[in-house]
Amino acid sequence: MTNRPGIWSHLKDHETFPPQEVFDRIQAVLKRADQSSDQGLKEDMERLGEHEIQPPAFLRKAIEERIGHRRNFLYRYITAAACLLLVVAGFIVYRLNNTRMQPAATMTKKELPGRVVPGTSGIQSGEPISGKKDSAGNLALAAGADTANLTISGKSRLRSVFSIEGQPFPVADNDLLASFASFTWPNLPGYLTRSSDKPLKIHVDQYTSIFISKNMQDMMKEMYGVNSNGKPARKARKAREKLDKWKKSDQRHFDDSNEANPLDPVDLAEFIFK
Amino acid sequence: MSIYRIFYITAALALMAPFNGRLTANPAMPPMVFSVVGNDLTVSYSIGILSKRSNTGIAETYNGGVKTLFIGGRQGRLRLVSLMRIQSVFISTDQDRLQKITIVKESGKNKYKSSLTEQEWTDYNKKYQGASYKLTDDTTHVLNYPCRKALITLKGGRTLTAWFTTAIQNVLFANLEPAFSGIPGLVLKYEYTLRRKTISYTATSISHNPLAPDVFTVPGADFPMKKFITPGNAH
Repeated sequence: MTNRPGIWSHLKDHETFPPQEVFDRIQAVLKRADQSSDQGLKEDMERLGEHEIQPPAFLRKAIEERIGHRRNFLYRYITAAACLLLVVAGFIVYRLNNTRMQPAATMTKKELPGRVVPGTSGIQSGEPISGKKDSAGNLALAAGADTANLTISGKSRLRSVFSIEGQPFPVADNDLLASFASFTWPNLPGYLTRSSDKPLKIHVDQYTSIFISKNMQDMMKEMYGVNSNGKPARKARKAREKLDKWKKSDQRHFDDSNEANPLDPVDLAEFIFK
Repeated sequence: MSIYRIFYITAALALMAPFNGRLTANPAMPPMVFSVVGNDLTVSYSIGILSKRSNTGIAETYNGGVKTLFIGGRQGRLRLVSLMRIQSVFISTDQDRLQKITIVKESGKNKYKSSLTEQEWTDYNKKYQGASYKLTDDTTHVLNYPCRKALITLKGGRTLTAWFTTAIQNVLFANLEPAFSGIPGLVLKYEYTLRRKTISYTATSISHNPLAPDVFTVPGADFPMKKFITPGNAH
């Protein structure tokens, strides 16, 4: 018995419409109910008003499809606009990258490898590292290089963009020693004031990074020592004078005559080890 | 192809645009720049000062500097970058003969450039004339290149020690570094000792990536020309 096909399920789906006269009679009763003052009937009618019937599933599906169709259409517009925007943005970035780099043939003679255009103010490397005194007699440490004017020739591909620990390091006239002497106390960069056993790395360009030895770092730190009254300490003055002396000696030996070549290991050693 | 697939492909292409050209070039190079002639060479040497004394004075301003050898086609450049100075020698050759030699001091207020003739360059490096080159059996490795030791003895007894590799050859080596004119290869490490202090140059990187042409471009009018005066006395 239990294994017979579900004949009752077929009956469940069977529908029979009521005869038309039944519908007419119900309609007449309802009309009379509207017009009559029968309270019981009115209550029944109110309860009917609260009665809910779920719509057929096919109806709900049709409605949802109609709404979804409209949504898909909107999404397509937005997606197409986003595609277009991305293409335009990518094109702009590509053009910007290429216009920054000029072909070599169009570079003028002024586009120098490794050249830093010096600022109109700030350190000139010919100035003594020992600095100048201000009106109070304090050793006014030379003003920091005007970073706003220290631009790298944007057209040169071998560009010296000096940086230390990821931060730009303004260098005037490509003179690193003078630039290190150009900070204004107490606004000194952290790498000059902290103690460290590691050499300090200066990124020069895409091919070169140099290191400053610990001894040199100590000397540069010494240049900015101050007394309790805020004036440069005697050690600081002496350190600056020493650096000045070294620069002048280096220039006399390698630049004022052609007797020695700083790129030659023997010439360089015989100068620095004398 | 659905609209979403088109969107994703477009997004991927747009995001790749900034990197165009960089994926095939050395990341350190500017994008879309390649040398016309192949086999470019860049060798960086780190300069070290060795001494029993803790502080070597003015030598500290060169300690930690870098000397870089650039070779591209028939052009070469040797550049020194240090705290004290930045200076380069530019050379160009024609049929293995030195054609143009320019010394450029790139740092300091008094920058300059000097043009030298081949004879002036020879006189400038006169101390290496008559030097003897002894190739020993000692070997070492520098940057994974097997190197052999050579002793370069100058007139007067000064001696340079060099380790060279025969794996890399170029006629411009001898032009740029006359000290190594008798070395059959590229010197990757060399040192000179004087008064118990040693200056050493050790190769820290070798690259064959194409070099931008402006590496070999001598600066223009911004660098005043300074007459080169031939050194009076031989070393």
